[in-house]
Amino acid sequence: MSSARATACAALLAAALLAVFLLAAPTPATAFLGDLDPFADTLDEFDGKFVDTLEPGPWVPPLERIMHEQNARARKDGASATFGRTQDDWTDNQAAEQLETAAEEPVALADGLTLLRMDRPGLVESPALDAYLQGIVARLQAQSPVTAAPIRVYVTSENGYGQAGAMPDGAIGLPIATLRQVDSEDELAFVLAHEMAHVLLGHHDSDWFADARDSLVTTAEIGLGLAIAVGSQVGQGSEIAGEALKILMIAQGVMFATDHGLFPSWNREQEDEADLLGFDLMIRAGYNFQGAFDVMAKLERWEAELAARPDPRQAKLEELDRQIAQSGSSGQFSEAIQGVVARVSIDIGEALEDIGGEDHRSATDRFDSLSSYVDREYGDHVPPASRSHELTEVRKSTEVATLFEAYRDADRAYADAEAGKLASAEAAARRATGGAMSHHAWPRYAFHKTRLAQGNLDKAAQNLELALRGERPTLVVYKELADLYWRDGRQAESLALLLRAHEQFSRPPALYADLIYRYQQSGRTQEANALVLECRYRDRKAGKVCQSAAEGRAPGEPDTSGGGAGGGGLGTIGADPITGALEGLFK
Amino acid sequence: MMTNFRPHAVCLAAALIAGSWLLSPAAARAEGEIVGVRASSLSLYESAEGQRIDSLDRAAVAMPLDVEEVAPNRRLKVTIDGRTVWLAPHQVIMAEGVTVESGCISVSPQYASTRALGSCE
Repeated sequence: MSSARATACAALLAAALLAVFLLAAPTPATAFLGDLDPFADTLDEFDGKFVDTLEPGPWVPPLERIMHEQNARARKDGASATFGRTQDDWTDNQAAEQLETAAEEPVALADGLTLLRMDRPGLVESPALDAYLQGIVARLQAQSPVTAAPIRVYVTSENGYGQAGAMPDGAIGLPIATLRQVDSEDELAFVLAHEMAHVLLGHHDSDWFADARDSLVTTAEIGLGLAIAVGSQVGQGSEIAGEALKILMIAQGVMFATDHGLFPSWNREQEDEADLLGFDLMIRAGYNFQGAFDVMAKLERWEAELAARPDPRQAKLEELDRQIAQSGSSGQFSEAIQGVVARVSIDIGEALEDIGGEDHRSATDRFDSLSSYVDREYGDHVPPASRSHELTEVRKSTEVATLFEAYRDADRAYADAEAGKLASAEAAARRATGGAMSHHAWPRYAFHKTRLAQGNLDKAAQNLELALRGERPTLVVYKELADLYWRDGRQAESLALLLRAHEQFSRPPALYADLIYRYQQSGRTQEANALVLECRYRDRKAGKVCQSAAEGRAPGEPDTSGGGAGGGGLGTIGADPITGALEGLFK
Repeated sequence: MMTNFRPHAVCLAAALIAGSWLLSPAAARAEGEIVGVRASSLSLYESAEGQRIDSLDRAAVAMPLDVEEVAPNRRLKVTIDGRTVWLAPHQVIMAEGVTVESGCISVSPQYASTRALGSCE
C-alpha cells in the first residue's frame, strides 16, 4: 500500500472513529439526571392507591427486550474495535479479532437461581419451606394487575434480617434469618410482596443501566487507544486523542457519579414504589398491614445496629481524593486530564448537589411514608386478624426446626472460627452438618472455615467437596476449593474446577481474573490473553483486575503500585494502561 | 407439723391472689405500655374492628398509656382522658421496643448484582 493511500485510509478511519464516538457518547454527561428527583415524595406523584396506577396485563421480562438491544450494541461496538491495528496492548490484530468475537457472543444472562448461587454463601434446601412460601406468593400474585410473573422464592443462608432480594427473572432470595425472626405471616407477606413488586415494576432495568454505563466506558477506552494510533498516522494525534479523552472522562465521570451518589437515590424511589405496591398487594390478599410496619421497625433496628460499623465508602472516597491529588502533580499530561476532570466533576458535582447529598432511604423514612399512605388511602380500612398459625406450624415441623438450628450452628461455627474459638467452632460445625444438611453449602462452608482456622487444609477441602455434592452449591464454594487446590499444588484440578464453575455460572466476571492468573501461572498465556479481552469487554471493573492477573498478580493481592486495579471511576485513571500511551502523546 | 398441711387451703389462697392480680391495673400493664406517638396525630377507633372516630394531636396525649387489650387484628385498647378507645399499633411506640438479630455475615465479595430489602452497609 502506498504512503498516500495509507494516509487517506487512516484519515477515513479516524473520521469513522470520531463518528462512532459522537454516536456513542452520552453527552451531556448529566442529561439523564433530569429524570431523577430523590426529593420528590413518591406519594405526591399519584392519586389513589399505587396498585391502581399499574397497567393490567401480562408481565414482560425487563431484560428480554434489553438483552436484544444490548446484543445489538455489542455487535456494533465490536465492529468499531476492528478499526484498530496499533501498538496498544489490546488492539493488535489478534486482540481485535478476539474482541470482536467476544462482542458478537450473546450476552449471557444467568437465571435468578444462578445469580443467587453466585451472590449468596448458601441456599437452603427445604421442600416444606418452599411450599409454604410459594403459597404466600400465589396469594399475593392473585391480587396483582400484572399477571403471570414467574415468582419463585429461594431461602438463602444469610443471617441478616433485611437481606432479602429480587432477581430480574422473578427469583426471590429470602434469608433464613428473616424466616426465623418474623412474628407473623403478615410480616413475611410484606417482605415477599416488596420483593415481588421490584420484579412486577421492572426495576431491574436500572441494573441494565449500570451494565450499559460500564460498557460505555470500556468502549471509550478501546476507542481512545485506537484514536491514538490513527491520530498518530494522520499527524493529529493530540487533537483526536483529546476528543476521545474527553469522552472517556465524561463516561468515567458518569460512572463515578452513579457509583457514589445517584444509584442509591434512584433506588430510593424504587424502594418507595416497591413498598407501596407491596403494601397494596398484601392488603388486597387479606393480610394485616401491621406486618409491613413490623418489617420497617425491624429494619430500623437492624440498620441502627449496623450503623455502628465503619462505612467502607468513606475510605474509598478518601482514596479517590488521594489519587486525584497524586495525578495532578505529575506534569503536563496530568494538567490536561485535570482540566477535563474538573469540568466533568463540576458538572456531576453540581448535579449531585441539585438532587441532594442524601444517598440512603432509611427504614425510618420508609416507615413514616407508609404511615402517611395508610392515613391517605386506608383510613377506614379495618385490618383482619393477624395470621401466624400456619407460620408457627411450619416452623415447628421437624424438618424446618432442624434446619433452623443447623444454620444457627453454622453461623456460630463461622463466627467462632473467625474469633479463634476453635473447639466450639468445630462442635457447632459438626452439629450443623449432620443428617439432611450434610451437603448444604453454608454449613459445609462454615465447617471448611473452621478447618482452615485449625490449619487443616485437607479437611477444609473435603468439606467444600461435600458441599459440591449438594443440589445448589454456591460460587464461593467452587472458588474457595479451587484456591485450596492451587495452594496444595493441584494446579490442573484447580483450573478444571474454575472452568466448570465458569460455565455453570454463565461466565461470571468475578471468575475471569482467577482463571487468567492460573492460565498465566501455568504458562498458557494465549488462553490467558484471550480471557483478558473477554473480561475487559464484559465487565470494566473486573477488567482491570484481569489485566493485573495477566501480568502475574494474584487476584486479591494488594495493589502497591498506587493505582486502582480493582476500583472504578475517576480514581483509576492514573493506573489505566492508556495513560502511558497518552502521556507520550501529550508531551 | 406435716399433719397440719392443707393443700386445698393453699390452692385456694393462691387462686385468690391470682384473681385479685388479674383485676388490678398491674394486669393491664401485662399487655404492654405505650410510651410515645409516632405519627403527628393519633387516630382513635371506636372498637377493635370499628371505624375511626377521632384523632388527637401528638402533644395532647399524655404518656405513658397502659394497653388494656390487644385485639386479634392487633389494635390496642387504651383509656385516654377517661375514654376507652382503640389505637392502630403503627402509630405508637411501645416501651418494650423492637428486637432483631444484628447479623450480617459477608463471606466474600458479591458476585452478582442483586438488590436487598435493607443494606448491610
